[in-house]
Amino acid sequence: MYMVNKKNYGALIVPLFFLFSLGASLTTIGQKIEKHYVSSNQSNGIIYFIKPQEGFNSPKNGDLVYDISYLNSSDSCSFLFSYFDKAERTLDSIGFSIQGQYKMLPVSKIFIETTKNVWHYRYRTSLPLDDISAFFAQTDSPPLLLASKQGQVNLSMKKKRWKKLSSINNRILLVIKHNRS
Amino acid sequence: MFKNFKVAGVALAATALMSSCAMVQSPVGGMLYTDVKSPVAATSNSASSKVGTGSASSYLGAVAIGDASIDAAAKAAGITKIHHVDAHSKNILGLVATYTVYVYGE
Repeated sequence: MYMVNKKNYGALIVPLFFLFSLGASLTTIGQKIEKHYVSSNQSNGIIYFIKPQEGFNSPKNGDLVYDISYLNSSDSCSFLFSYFDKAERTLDSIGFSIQGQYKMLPVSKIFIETTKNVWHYRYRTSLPLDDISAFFAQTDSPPLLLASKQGQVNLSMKKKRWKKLSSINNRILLVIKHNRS
Repeated sequence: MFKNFKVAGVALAATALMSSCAMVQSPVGGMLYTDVKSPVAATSNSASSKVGTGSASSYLGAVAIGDASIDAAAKAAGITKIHHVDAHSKNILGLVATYTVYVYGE
């Protein structure tokens, strides 16, 4: 009797595993992008906003959360980010690793705040839409570099997270390109 | 004896779940699921090039945290002239409810 039950479990586990794998792969391939961005018609064009995304972090330093906005009548998009770190810093620039080379861009401060012992740095930079597309088109998780007077901070994202986010962002950027004026 | 404890445990858990439902502000709401976008405000300011967001969430109706104020959303994007404000309400089975504001401006 015991052996029969054991066999039944085995027969159930295999199809369940395949169903789970299929579901997981379909989820990755067919991401619903609607919940990850908003768009609005303006007199000067359509403005797109990719909602805040997290995943870039540095084990020794802090975490970065970014959002992207783009007005389709312009060539460049705004990359806004919040960087949380225990250290006091003055950020100068941010580097996007594209095809193994860093594209360093100056950042402008929006605000700096502190809660408890963590600093919240809110900055913005702007970069061409083609560059941000090239950044997210990379299959391997590319690093981000924050340059400050107090030293550099290297931020990276886990492969699985990158695969998911880059897939979503590539599709949103494709929608943006199709609607570009 | 053990069966009685099990029944009591299930009843207690069910009571706790049913008595505390997360709610969210929305023009229309679904008992099981809400995913609604709605307007908050519009001004006569000219078109916008910046977008800022802020959100607040409620868990089981027991804990609610976040900052979904227009001020926080505008501040996050460095917006000083607001064009319009939209909101997005989401509620899943009364377990997790999220209210997000999107501020458009210059």
